[in-house]
Amino acid sequence: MRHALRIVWMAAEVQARELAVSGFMLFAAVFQPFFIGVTAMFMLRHRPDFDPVYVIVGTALTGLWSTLLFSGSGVINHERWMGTLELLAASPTSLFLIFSGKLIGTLVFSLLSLVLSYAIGALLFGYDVTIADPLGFVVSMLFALVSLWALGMLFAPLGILWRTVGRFLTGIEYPVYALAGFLFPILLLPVWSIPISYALSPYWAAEALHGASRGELDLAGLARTWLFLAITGAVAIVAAYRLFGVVLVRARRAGTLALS
Amino acid sequence: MRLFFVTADYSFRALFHWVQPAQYLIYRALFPLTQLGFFALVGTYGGSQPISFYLVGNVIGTATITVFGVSQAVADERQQGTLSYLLASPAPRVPVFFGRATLHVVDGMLNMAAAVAIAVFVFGLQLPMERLTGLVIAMLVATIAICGVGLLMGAMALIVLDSAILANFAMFVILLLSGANVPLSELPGFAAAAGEAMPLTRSIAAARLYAGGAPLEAGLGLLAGDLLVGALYAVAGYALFTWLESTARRRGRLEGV
Repeated sequence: MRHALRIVWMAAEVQARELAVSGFMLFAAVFQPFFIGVTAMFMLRHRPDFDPVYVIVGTALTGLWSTLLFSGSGVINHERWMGTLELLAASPTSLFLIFSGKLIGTLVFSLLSLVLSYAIGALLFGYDVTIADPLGFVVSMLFALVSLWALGMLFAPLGILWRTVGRFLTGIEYPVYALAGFLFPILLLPVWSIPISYALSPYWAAEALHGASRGELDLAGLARTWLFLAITGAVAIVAAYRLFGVVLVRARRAGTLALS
Repeated sequence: MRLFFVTADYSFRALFHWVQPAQYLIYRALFPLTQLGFFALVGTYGGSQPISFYLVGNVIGTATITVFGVSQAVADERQQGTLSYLLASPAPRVPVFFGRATLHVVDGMLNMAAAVAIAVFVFGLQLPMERLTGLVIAMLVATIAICGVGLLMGAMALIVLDSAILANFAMFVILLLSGANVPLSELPGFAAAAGEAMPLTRSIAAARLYAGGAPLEAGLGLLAGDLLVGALYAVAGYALFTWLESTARRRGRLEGV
């Protein structure tokens, strides 16, 4: 167990260090949420029931999602470009464990967008930012992070097993902003798209965090969102585990790891 | 002229990696169209402006995606290892530099046409048919003007090494300050002034006039202003490009100016 945790910790640290000097990922975690947050603050502040916390939480979620999406879908390809994928696949350490750590590093890095979103509301616009249910918010954040991490783990092998799927993944950034209701309620979307929203962990993350931050959900309501975050996360991680197995089969039996 | 069009063709096809249609569709169609939908829905939820305000603003705003293509067409010469061959050639620099934006104008127009179709058929935007000419001219001017920013970003990327980040910055700054989503009157004074100095600001205003039924003459002044602003950015990009070239020759450090 200690051995596994050590590997996860080291992989997370290396990943966080790499992201901290990646201009593109810094843009996704810091600058893009800044522009989206400021734009959304201007666009939503005329609502009679305007609550800056709604924009802050929604903006933070866009940063979390974008960072996870781009990092998750490219994390294996990045190793391939660096020439280290074959070494990782051949090592006795579980590939799944290594990339688990890497995406934990990504999640920690992406929390920058949460800090930045708070700064937009509190410092740039001068709003009094208060979380209605701090404990519920913290628990919701933990559930959200674990569930989003699981989704990132699912994206990682997809990008290498099917190149077109990998490219398509980078195009779902804004659709998920909309389908998950980060900055507007999904009731504005067509009825047929609502079941898709329900199947997405980012939607339940937004429900939980918006609900806790604005005090709109009681404990039962929050528990319901946590349950769905746990279910969507579990489905994603089981699927990811199987796909990582396929990646290893390709590496060891077919010998086409670097050729997909 | 031959060099201009050869540069346009090859820089579009070879430098932007669009060998596969799937990649082309994702980066040049799916992304801007979903961006249009997202901002239109945020605006609708905000409720301070009618949805047509956001739809027209973001239809023209999809022109910002052109910045990526144009800037990469300039900056990727270094990444592909062809910058030294280009600069060593006796070819005149004006067609070599400005030709890179040509096909992106056509491409940007196709992109915007798709955005208009989405705005009309998905979001129910009502456009007066007799004012479509004005709207198409506004779209064309917006695309040409934004190419100026792309050329400048491409030349700048030869210094800072990453055209994608510069293009992303340009896109979000323009979407925030050009009035696509936030009326300039609501922005702080310095931000509104910066918005006035950017391409698309006047094209968006003109497109909104035409979508509201105004005659063609009403927006021509605005469109001429946007063309001028775009031209200034393009000339600034060319000046930077030629300065970088002469500096690189003088110092013998082409890859590390």
